[in-house]
Amino acid sequence: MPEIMDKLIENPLAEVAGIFNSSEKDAKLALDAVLLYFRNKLEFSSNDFQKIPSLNEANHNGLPNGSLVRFRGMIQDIYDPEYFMPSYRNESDIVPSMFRDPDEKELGFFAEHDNRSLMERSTWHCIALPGENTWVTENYSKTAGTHYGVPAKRSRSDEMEVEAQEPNASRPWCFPVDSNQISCIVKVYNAGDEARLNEMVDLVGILSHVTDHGEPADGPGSDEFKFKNPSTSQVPRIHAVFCKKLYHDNPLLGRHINIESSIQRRRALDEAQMNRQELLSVFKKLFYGDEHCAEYLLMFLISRVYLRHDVLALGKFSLNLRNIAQDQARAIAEVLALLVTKSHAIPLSLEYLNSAKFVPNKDYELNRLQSGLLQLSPGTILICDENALNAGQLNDDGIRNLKALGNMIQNQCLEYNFGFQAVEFQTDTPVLYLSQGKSMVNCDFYSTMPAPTRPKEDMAQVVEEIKQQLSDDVLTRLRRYITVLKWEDHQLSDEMQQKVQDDFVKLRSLHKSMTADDLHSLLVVARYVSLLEGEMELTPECWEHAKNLEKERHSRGRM
Amino acid sequence: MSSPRAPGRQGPRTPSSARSPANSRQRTTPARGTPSRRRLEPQAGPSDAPSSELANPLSPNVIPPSSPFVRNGVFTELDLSSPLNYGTPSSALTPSSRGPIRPRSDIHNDRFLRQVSVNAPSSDHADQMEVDQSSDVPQMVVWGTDVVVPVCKAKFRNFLKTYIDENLERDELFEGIDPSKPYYLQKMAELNTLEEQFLHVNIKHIRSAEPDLARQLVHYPQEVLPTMDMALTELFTEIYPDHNLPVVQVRPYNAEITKSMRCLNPEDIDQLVTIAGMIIRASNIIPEMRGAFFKCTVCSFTESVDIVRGVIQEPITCRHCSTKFSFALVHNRCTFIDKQMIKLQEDPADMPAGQTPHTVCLYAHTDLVDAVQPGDRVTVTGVYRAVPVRPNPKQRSVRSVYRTHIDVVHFRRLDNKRLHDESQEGSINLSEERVAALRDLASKPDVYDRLARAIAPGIYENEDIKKGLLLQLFGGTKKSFSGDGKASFRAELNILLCGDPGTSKSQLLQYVHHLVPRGQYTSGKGSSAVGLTAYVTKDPETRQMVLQTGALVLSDNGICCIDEFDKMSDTTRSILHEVMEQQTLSIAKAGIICQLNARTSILAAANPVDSQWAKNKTIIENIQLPPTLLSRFDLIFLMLDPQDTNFDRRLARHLVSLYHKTPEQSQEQQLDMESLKEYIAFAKATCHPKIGEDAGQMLIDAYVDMRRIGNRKGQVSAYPRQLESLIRLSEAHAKTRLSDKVEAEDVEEAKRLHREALKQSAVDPSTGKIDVGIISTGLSNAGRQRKIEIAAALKKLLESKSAQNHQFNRILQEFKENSQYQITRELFEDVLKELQDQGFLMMQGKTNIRIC
Repeated sequence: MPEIMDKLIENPLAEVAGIFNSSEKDAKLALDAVLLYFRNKLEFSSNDFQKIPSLNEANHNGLPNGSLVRFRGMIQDIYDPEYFMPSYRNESDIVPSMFRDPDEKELGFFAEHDNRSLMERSTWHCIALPGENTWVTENYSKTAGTHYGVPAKRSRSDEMEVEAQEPNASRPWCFPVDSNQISCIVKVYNAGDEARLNEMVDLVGILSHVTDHGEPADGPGSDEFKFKNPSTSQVPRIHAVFCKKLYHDNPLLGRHINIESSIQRRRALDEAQMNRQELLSVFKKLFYGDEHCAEYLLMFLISRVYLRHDVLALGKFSLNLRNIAQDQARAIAEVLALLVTKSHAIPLSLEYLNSAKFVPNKDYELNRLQSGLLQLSPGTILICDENALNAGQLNDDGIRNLKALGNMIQNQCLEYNFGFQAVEFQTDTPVLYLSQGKSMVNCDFYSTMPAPTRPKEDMAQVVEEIKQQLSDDVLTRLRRYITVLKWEDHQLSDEMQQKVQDDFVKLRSLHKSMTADDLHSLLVVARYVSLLEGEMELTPECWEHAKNLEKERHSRGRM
Repeated sequence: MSSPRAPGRQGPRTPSSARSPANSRQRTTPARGTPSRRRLEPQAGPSDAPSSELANPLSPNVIPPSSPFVRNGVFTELDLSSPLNYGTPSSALTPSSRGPIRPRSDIHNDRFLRQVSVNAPSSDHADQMEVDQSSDVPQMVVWGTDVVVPVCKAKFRNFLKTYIDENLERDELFEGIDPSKPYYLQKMAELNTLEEQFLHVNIKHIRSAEPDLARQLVHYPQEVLPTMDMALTELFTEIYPDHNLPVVQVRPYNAEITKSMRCLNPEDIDQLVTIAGMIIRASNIIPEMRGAFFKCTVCSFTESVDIVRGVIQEPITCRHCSTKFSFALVHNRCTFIDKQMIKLQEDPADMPAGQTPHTVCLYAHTDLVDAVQPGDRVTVTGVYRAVPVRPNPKQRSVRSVYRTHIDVVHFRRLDNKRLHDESQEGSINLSEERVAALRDLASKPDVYDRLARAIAPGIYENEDIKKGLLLQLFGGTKKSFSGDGKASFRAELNILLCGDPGTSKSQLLQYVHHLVPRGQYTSGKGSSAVGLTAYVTKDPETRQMVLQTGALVLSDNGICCIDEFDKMSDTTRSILHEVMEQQTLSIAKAGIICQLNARTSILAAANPVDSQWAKNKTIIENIQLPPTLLSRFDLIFLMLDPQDTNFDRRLARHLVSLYHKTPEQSQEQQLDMESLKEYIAFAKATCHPKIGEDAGQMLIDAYVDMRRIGNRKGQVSAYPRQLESLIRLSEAHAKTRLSDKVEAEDVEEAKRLHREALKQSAVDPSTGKIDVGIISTGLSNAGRQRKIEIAAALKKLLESKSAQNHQFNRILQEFKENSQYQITRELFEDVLKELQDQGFLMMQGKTNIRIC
């Protein structure tokens, strides 16, 4: 078996040609057969999958043309579909031209084309996951096979060089955040209709280096064409043979959380108590011993929008922690980066708000989507630090940015600017908002850290301490714990439903100010509290705990 | 027949050579950017003999073998693209051609159409073609199609002469039209008067009269269109022989059912498609060379060269002086046509969630250039093309990738209708099954409740508010009195929701905002007056002053949702006065003075001033909105927190089930958002209820009743505005049933809802009675009464004093102590003001009261 895989990685096009010939040179049949073939090969076999060199780690220019590569990323833009000729006739034979960019010399001048034989494929602009933390990248490259001739790992300096070089200067606004700027153009052959913008995908495709880059005729639309078909030495181009939507991007769990990671899932749930305590102790240090804030931060980490009712996003958990100093905010961001797969911290300074671009917009000149900071893949944690805010005036852009951020926090949706119209996209970006006082933007949950009783420690030192406390083993365990819990489902038994209703009625009679919104919050908190305990169903203890947490939070709000 | 045409051309071809690679290569469509070529045929003279045959509709199938079209045996080439001999203006015109000659540039019919005799034994293509086999006469079809040119022409000619449609669409009507006469003959008369050159033909009409012709037109536009042009021109010249236009062209529209951009696929290439979308970019005009004019630098011999398949072959050797490479291009004697690249983007409504809108490139030629502007919503009809990408324009080698575009033959603007039509009929495309399903739903007795339940199912109860919103979504019937010189009455309903924070007002607004196609959502907090109306900016590119429209204008024909209405500044709010009654917006800024349409419904949400609703205050006191504005709302709903255990329990159950049931489980019996949207759009487009006899009487009775209640107490309690509201509400309710007549039940429901809303909002807190006066004047009748009494008491008190001047504070103190009412400082000031108005006293400064 391994040899077959090696061969396949080396020359997948041979396989494509073989399948083409055996399906009676019918392009449509062949296309489906090729996709099926690769799916069978790759869907379930992690070993084979990991042998394929990954563009996330290796520089594509070192990989041979026509070899199999993979890429893990997010769909940043979906270009208009393009038509291509799946096969052509040369002097002697009919040759497939799918899954590659045939050399124009090879094609020659085939003017005889039957329009009916053309096929459609879509093109995606994929980028490496924005905000991906370094431990994720490192862990992925650890598991990636050290295959034949794969060039040395993309070293830090190498990467810097690539960044400093061409692509980004001539291709601005391809990436929402500054780090991890790797992109590729993907030609997708099967039903691109199901693809959604910002989805995480795992792709396997055939790398294509196009040698001759004669510029197409100048004229209307040529700029766009040039932009969308950049030189393959700048931006790699792959023809996807296999594409899978990713739910999580935790390298410590299997690719398919339900199948391969069932043992790990079980373990994470069994050890839930221990993990929870461990994380709480870590977070407590960040909040000078305050357990309340630590609990909310922990809930925040496993939150996601798990259900949408019309305009309502259930499960969203944007958290505003108050009375947080700047060094503390930095420490929190640093620690979270160790634990979650994707996080991004932004300073909400006046300059930043006024100059940054939060909302993606359509560039009609090049007919593409320019990325903005908030174009993040689902589950990316956004940490906003209001400490950086200074006095001054927001300009138009600043107001718009802040409004977009507020809208995202409240409704988990973002209106992309399409010039003549705004198109709404749903997001799942939990926002952690750290501020001194009341935040500029309303969050779902807010809590105030009480003034520390003991003298404040040096935050940098605290972070060092935490890092030492978290050995690699512990980290692995905690990272798995967080990702697994995020995707767990939660139930409410009939008795508990009754209890929740009774309690709500009781609470309402006690506190007149309690509203339906408070019950919303309470239900969300209860969900995460019991999940953190490893409980799939709400227990009375967890419910009590949730009520206490909320009570405490409300009393703090009044402080 | 004097119309000139190109003769059949070129040498013999045998079937075998026609299929050889060399020949078939010539049949390909040209590369992108290739202009539709016109083969210059200077030798082409008027050839009357063949034209009479082709032109004669009576003998469509008979083409004598002597005709040039068949003189080469089985195959002939017929240059259909030129119903005339097209030439450059500089070329010698044949005597019979009159006026400037206009080539047809919108369809790149570059290939030479060859006709095939289907019955000929040598043809092996016969089996592929659907031809009327019953005919014994050899039929000539265009190669690769089933188009028989003469038949096609005859059919079209017949269609033009006879087609009558009684139900023309609004934008197809023109002045002086008589629908009972052949429509296109009238159109042609109009062309004649206006000296236009294009006849717009609705393919739907052709389909109903000549289904076969319509099919051919859609499938083989390159062949059929020129044929139609030919037929039209002949007919036109017959009818108007003195007309000085040499050629009239057909511009078809409304091909098949309008396709969405997403549905275009390779099978549509080279076919006529109609797609809708919004223009997002239009390039500058690109001059495209048609014919090049060369001059020999040595002997000044000139030569014209036509574009052949996108290439101009520069003559190498001068025919006159035999010098090589001596030719230079003379620019101002070359011929050019206009061309423009336009980008069309799909409507967000056609787009699945989470995807980016597709765009399609359009090429417009000659007078279609600049026919549309960015921002226009149009339906485009044109020929869909795919052209291989050439890495190098000088080489013929291509890539395996194709670029697609549409050669436009017709633009149909959708906005025009919006501007001119008062009764804005949204064009709506629904399949018959969907329409049947909607009708079925409408016939259900509980359709109203069903629809109301479908609104924001995530929000608990508030049935009446949802019903109100539902009626707002449907709207009333537009009534225009412009004929009588009066303005029209608005059909849009305005609703105000006010109440305690945390009662999901914003969610309701969000929901409605998502439900209407042209909805705007804005918050009163961040909106300025200009943000709502319009502002003038300088366009950075053109440096011209541009009017940027705000939320109210953008939501024309939609609903403008304004959250935090109470936080809005007074100046901003004052703008709404005009919008909410006259439905227009007057602007006078930076030299731009205009009136814009803002036929929008307003859905506003307001919080009480003291954040919690004070039960003992009136609505005016609670939300501090001017009564002039409040009275413009048809329905004002209070959303109060009931503070009641049973309610709490039901609410809790509702929320818990929301969190712990999948949408499928909880929404099984409910309409989903999409169906609701469809239903509303359908009702708005098709249904314009009129008030029936009984309903009218009921409305009158209801109004009289409302007035009488007030009369009994000695005041007027209902105003014509309330009657208008009632009418609108009943009409909207009739629309929910898709009924064209307002019935008694509609009025009943309107009355009920109006009463419900009033009960909640116009209750005088001190008397507990409904009082419309609160909304119209801001004061309840009882309150007014009280004020008069207090004023009298104060007057008495002051009259009892001997001094002329009084200290404000002392009087207040004294008055407070003696009065039976609770006197606040504000009330005291109010009363003083009233007395001042009566001329009883004068205020000197803030503190001194002087009795006159």
